[in-house]
Amino acid sequence: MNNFTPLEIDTLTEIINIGIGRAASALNDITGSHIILKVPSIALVLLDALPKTFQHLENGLISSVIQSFEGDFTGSAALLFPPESAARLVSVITNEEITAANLDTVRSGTLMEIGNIIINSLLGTMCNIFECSLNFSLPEYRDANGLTDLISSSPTLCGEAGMIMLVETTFLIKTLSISGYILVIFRLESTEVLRTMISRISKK
Amino acid sequence: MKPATDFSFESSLLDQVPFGVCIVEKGYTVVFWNRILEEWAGIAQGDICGTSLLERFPHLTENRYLRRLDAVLEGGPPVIFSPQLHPHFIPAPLAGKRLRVQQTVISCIPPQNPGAGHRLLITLTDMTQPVEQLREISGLREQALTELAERKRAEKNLRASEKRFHDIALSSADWIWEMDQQCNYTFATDKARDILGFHPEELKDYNFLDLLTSQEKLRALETFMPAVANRQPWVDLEAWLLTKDGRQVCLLFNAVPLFDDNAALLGYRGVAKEITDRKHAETDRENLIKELQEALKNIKTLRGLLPICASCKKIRDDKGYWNGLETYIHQHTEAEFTHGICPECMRKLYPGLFDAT
Repeated sequence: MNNFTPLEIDTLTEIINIGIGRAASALNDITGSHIILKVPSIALVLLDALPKTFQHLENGLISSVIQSFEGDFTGSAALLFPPESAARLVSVITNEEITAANLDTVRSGTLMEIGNIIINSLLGTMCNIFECSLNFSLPEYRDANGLTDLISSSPTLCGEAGMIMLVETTFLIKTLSISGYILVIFRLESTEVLRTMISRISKK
Repeated sequence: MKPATDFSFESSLLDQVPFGVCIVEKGYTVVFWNRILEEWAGIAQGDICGTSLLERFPHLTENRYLRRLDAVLEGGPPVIFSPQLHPHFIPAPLAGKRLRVQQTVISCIPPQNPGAGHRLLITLTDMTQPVEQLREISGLREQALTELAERKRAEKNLRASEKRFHDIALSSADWIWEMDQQCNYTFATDKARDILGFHPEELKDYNFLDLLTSQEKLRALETFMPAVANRQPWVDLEAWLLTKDGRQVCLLFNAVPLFDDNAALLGYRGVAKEITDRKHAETDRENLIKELQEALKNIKTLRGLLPICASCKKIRDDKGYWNGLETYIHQHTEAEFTHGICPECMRKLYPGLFDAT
């Protein structure tokens, strides 16, 4: 994303890391297991450039938890996994045996809670740091065939999208390492608001 | 005791919804508790409104609940407590000591008046039936997967067993066969072609008795057929069979009876070994023994005590007659006599001739 300077991206990365740390703490409370969440990288791209930049997310099914928000900035956040990773994550968190590659209603509800915790922690941290307020919708679970299909089939994701922040994240639970993505889509007008907020806290 | 709520119209609506609804304000004081929750938890509105939700349900003070509830009460985003991770947000007993499984959503109600704090809207959906159905399906699925794995393992073993049998049948010098309860051939290995000249498929048109020689058919009624009638194994039963080109071959049969699950006789499975050469050799040997026995009968031998005259050397026979030595031996042995003169007699009888030689 040309509009964001490396410094602005560093600031966002730090905020994301704080939020992810809170999410890990909340997940530890629930499971009693030591869960580490790592953020190896984040990327900021325009919606149009998304399929080209993340070709590996275009092929294959995606299980996702989506939660939209509005307020000082508007958009949607989604936690994305390949279905087998989602099933593995739910199984390891609930201490159940992995029985199927996809999720049934109950297990998708569990993924929804996990996604809710992570997205709330992430965006809650952004709100705290940026001193802004957001209203959130309830999370929804959705399966899609690739990233483009997910975005185009979700009104909350595709409406007037401007910038997309893609956060690669890795769950380290017990001896397992499960990788997923957090996708935060900001509407066009929110992009500038976000830059202004980053600029404001950078000056502090 | 406080009134149920100060928003009577909304509360009357929330009493009609098919899910549990509870509203708490700062300090987790319950300000609304709908009819469904009264029914599920067995706690009346009037008894819980105005009291602390946390005191009523102390498990909600655990970090796994309270931190997230606090965040919503401070105006944070809604949170979900899923049926798998938090199945009993408000414990609601069912028959058989079970508890209702719930999905709980907590949302923030912004302050309605300046100075008022946020409230929590807690909605609980009963997920007991779907969860139990999924558990049942999951159990059935597990059972099906286990059975499938067992069947695959059994099929693998069966294939290995069939291959083992096939390899043994192919490499065996004996003829392996199967027949039904009427003794019709139903299976034969290729060895049948070497022994009888019939293709294994051709044999399916024949009964066991069909291939026996006419003499053997009668004998089989006393050997093979009683075993079949008594559903007993065939152990080392011999039979002479006719080959496709009319030769006679002798086979040694060993077989076990086959039964179905109801113990009804299905037929026999066994092996037949060709012993024609051995039988011929045995016959030859028996003939030779007979010939030798005959020959022995014809050999005359002298045994026992012979009464002989100490003077003239005549021998007395069984009838009391005295026979000359030559006559007696000639009569009682196969020996013949040729006559000559020994040196001593020669000296006595013909001294002149003896001296000259």
